[in-house]
Amino acid sequence: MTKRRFIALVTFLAGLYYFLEFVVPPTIPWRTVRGEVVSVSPQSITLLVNGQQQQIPVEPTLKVYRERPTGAPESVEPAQLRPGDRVSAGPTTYLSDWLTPVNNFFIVLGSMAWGMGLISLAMVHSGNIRRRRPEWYGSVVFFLAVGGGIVAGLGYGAEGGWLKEANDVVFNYLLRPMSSTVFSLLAFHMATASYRAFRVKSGEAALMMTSAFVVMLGQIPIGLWLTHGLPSFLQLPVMAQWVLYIANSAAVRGMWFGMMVGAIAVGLRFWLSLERGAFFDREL
Amino acid sequence: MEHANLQIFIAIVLFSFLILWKILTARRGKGGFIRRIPGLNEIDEAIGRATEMGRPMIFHPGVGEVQNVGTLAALGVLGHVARKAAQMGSRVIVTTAIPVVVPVAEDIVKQAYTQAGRSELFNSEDIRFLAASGDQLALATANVMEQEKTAAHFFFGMYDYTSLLLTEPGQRTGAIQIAGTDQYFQVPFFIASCDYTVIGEELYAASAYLTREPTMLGSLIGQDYAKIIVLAVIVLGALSTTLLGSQNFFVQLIGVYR
Amino acid sequence: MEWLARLQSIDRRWIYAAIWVACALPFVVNIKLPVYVSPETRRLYEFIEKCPPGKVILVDSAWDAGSQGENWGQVEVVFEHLLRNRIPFIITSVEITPLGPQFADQVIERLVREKFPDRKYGVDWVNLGYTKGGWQAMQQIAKDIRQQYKKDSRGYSLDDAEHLPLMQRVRNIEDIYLIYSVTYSPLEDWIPFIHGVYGTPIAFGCAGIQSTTYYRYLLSGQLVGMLVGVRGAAEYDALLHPNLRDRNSMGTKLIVPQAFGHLVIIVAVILGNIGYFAARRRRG
Repeated sequence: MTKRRFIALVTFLAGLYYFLEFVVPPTIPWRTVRGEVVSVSPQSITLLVNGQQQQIPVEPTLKVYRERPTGAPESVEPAQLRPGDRVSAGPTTYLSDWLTPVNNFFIVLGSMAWGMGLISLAMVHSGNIRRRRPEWYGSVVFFLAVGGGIVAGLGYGAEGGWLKEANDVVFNYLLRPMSSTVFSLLAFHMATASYRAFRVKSGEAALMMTSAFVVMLGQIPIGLWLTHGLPSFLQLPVMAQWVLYIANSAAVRGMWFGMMVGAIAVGLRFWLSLERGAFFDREL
Repeated sequence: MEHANLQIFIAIVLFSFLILWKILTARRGKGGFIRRIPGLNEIDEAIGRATEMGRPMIFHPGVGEVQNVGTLAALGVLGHVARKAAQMGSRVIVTTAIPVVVPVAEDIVKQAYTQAGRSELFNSEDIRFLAASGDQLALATANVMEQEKTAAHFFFGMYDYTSLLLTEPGQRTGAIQIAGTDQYFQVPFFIASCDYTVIGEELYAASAYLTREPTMLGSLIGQDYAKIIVLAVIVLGALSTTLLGSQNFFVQLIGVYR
Repeated sequence: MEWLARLQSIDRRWIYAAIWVACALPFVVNIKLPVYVSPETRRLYEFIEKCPPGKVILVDSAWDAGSQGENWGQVEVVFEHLLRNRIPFIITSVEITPLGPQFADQVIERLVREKFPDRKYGVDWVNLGYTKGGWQAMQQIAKDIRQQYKKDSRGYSLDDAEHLPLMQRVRNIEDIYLIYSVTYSPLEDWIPFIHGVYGTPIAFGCAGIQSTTYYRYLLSGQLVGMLVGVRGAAEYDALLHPNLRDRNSMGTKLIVPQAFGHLVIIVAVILGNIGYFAARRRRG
């Protein structure tokens, strides 16, 4: 129980930083001045606020936001300001200053997990070898490949020498073409998957197949060739455009709104450790 | 946008309040109705079939990092699958290309087996980090399908172009396949190659639906309230812009940048 | 009827073979196909045509071997347009892949060798190389390009007027007319953090499968244009070269295997359905 409470507390604190960083304004609101830049010197910024000039000293804690023509704010260094810019300037609330170190901390934490991944792999494969499971020799190749990959990785960014050659062979001449080959398998899989799945078993299936045909034919020259004599709204490329611009965009927007609200809910449940039943057997 | 402006701040506080309020009401016993989601109903069926055949199943929690909302939702589904499998005395193999997922998944599956009193069935080698990239993982997972003769495959979480590389070989083995993703451009691939597909935010509702926990149900109801507000803003925005032009009071009120 | 019903269970290897032949055939026989130019392609072309003198275009070329099939053609046609009209451009690769700038170099090298031998590096284009940093890097480029890049990809300082005369008149977002981001799935951050803040027009070149998510931005005007997969590249080539015989870009070449591949899938689906209905009729 103590362990769970501790996990919940750490989760809450980690999430709290990001939450506050986003919602708390970057400068202290009641000490923030809005106005138009009159002049800038390394020591101070002169602003025109409600018809009166006001000097703001440039200090390390000063944060300046320039209003762009779109109305959106942009953080700038005082030296980047030009007379006539509309800005708001004030002392920092410090939270945003910590964003990079906090992000780096999580990146380092994530990198440590790579070690766990490797351990998991090593356990599976050493188990295969120890118990002489079928195709255990594949696991021997795994360990050789990891060793080779680590050596080749040392050649990354090298100017020359055999390490660079090894790096080129492993990453450019082996991994890259192999990934492209795997990627190209998609074309074959797509063909068999659609052959098997697209059967007109119901009204919806017929609608789905018709729209698939319209979009597929509309994307390629054959669609144009088949229908170029018809009035423009009956031409396949024009119909495909309608499906992509109108029907598709409507669906995508609808799904996005739902998903983003859903993401807030999932985020809240995890942040406040309310997700019992899934990860924890009891309420915290 | 680097920081929330006033409108976004109000929206976040309001949505969070609605969701938390509904969670608390649901916990006090005021449950809600949740519509049938066919893909999720079939999960238990698939686990049952795999158990009858005496074959293991594969759970693949997507290719997103562990903090990805889709991955988190998928891990919720994994909890349910592992619990059912443990109750029936069946084996779940988890394959992933994301190292951080390994300890989290291991913990979830281990806990499920321990709770069901079947901890002897849990083997940490079944939680497998198979490769560092999505396409290699897909090939390796297809290999596991062949070797272990798996009878049910679950693909939940965030997916990229590798979705079809996982499900097509899986289809060929004759296993029941159930998928769910919030990446809508992968949905067509799943529909074509899986028996059941859970689409978009249904994935986020999955753990609520499967566990029927009041917390989850309350959260879903809260989400619906939030969506009603979003919808109202859209309708009012569209109407006011159509009738009064693009710089009307409503557009200024909700703070749209030009 | 018996043989018709068998059409619903064609061995998948026959479909694989058909896809293979359809995709390989155009590489053996030289075919060129006319295309229908979609509005998103035409809008990008017309927007670039209207580029005022003194402005540059920023091409974020963040793709590598994985999506070369679609992205190569998309940057090739735009580079050709820019070199032809002598619109200077700057190449970056933000966040996604460090190999992006190398691939862009390969495309330009070929164009300059074959079509524009008098265009010079440093005058007509500059390749700044890869940078990490997501939206912060994008905004830094917008505020002051020299804060994000001290040197170009060849090691010249951005202030080196002898080698990089082009960079002497490029300081920040005010000098950029358009940002064209090409990769498998361009970062949506360009829209809120650059278009939203500075109002700079953005265009994307993306994989066909990813395009469905971006159409909504074309409707809302947040994207000025988009090249969709191989089709987009072929359409742009058609705008550059109204005469079919003059077209020889990657897009025009690759639209042919794509067209044949689509046809195989459509035929396979139709055959599968004939088989399905034949079997249903037989069962009564």
